[in-house]
Amino acid sequence: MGFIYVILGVSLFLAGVTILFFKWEGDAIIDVKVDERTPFKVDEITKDSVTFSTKVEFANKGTQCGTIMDCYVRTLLPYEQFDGVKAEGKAEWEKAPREDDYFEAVLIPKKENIQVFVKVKLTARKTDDIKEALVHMVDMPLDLVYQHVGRHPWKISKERIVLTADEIAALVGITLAKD
Amino acid sequence: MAEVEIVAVPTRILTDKDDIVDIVEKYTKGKIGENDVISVAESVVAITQGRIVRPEDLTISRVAQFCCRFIPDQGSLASPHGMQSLMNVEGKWRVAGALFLGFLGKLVGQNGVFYKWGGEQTALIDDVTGTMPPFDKYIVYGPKDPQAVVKRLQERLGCFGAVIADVNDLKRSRIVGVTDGVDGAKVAHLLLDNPFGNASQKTPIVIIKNFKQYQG
Repeated sequence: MGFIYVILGVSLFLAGVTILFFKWEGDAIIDVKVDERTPFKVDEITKDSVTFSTKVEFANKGTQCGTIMDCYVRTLLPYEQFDGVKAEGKAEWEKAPREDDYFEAVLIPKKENIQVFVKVKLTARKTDDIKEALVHMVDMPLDLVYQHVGRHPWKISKERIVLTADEIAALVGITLAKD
Repeated sequence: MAEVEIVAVPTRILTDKDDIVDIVEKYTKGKIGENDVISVAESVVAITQGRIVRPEDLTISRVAQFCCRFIPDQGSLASPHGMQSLMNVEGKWRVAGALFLGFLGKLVGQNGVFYKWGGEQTALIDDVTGTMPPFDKYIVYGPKDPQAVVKRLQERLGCFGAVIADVNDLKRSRIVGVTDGVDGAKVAHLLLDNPFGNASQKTPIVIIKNFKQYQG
């Protein structure tokens, strides 16, 4: 009987030590600081298109290394709401700019961060003049979607940024129509 | 005497539709001689063998989630899917047992017990980010039958020898497969500066010119 108590005691002790170890070890905690992003700026403007970007910090607040396996920008501009422009989004790691829309998986060591550019390109659809097309622009949500992993299994999270019509108008130098 | 020289050979991105021996022959044509050693990156050999898996395709067990916590941060087995990928090929309880033995080994000052008893893939798996796009989103296993691959390479190319090497930018260089008569340790030393390049440089093949004379 005493032997069973010894086994039970050792098992409980090891379980307790393991729980404490896991708590001490912690995990990666990815904090995407959309509220602290830089203001949108114009990267490029042509006759029929304009590209805006903002920089967002991905901070690993945790105590373990984290990995961003993938990241992309989902633009939300249904044509029911406004069909004057086509919107395309892109996420780009500051240290690895790419011409394609591929996001290379990247490690974020504990307590470190990376900077990601959120880019959105608007192309006029019914005219060849982007400024004319944007006169009727509406606020456009952008979902910054990222797949991350640490000591936890991978999961997909997203944060929302809104590119407002007023910001766009100010950046390209137009006056919005009152409609 | 001719001096040893390292020649990196760029290729396109290789996939599981490629045969590594055919590819090496194609890209090294006219560049390799009978005194040379051909060296191929371990992860690229594995990719051509289809030895890759997406984390999304794995079912993560509680045992994998538990065991990965004992692997040091940034290790390829430190994530649940890295550990699960190992358990899928080496056996869940074998890996868990080896981890426990490794823990006991560390208590008495003996390192490497986990890697000795956990199976050959324990030291060969590369987690996501471990190789170039588009395979940065995959877990890449070690190559299958590396000795058979290097033998085929040597026979096809008619060179002095062939190796499969696992090299990274952290000055780690390890020979995974080597043909008879080639001193793997000397090859590993020559590859320490990682002539295969970083993740985005497409140079998975390296010719070591005049290695026969260098080896002596």
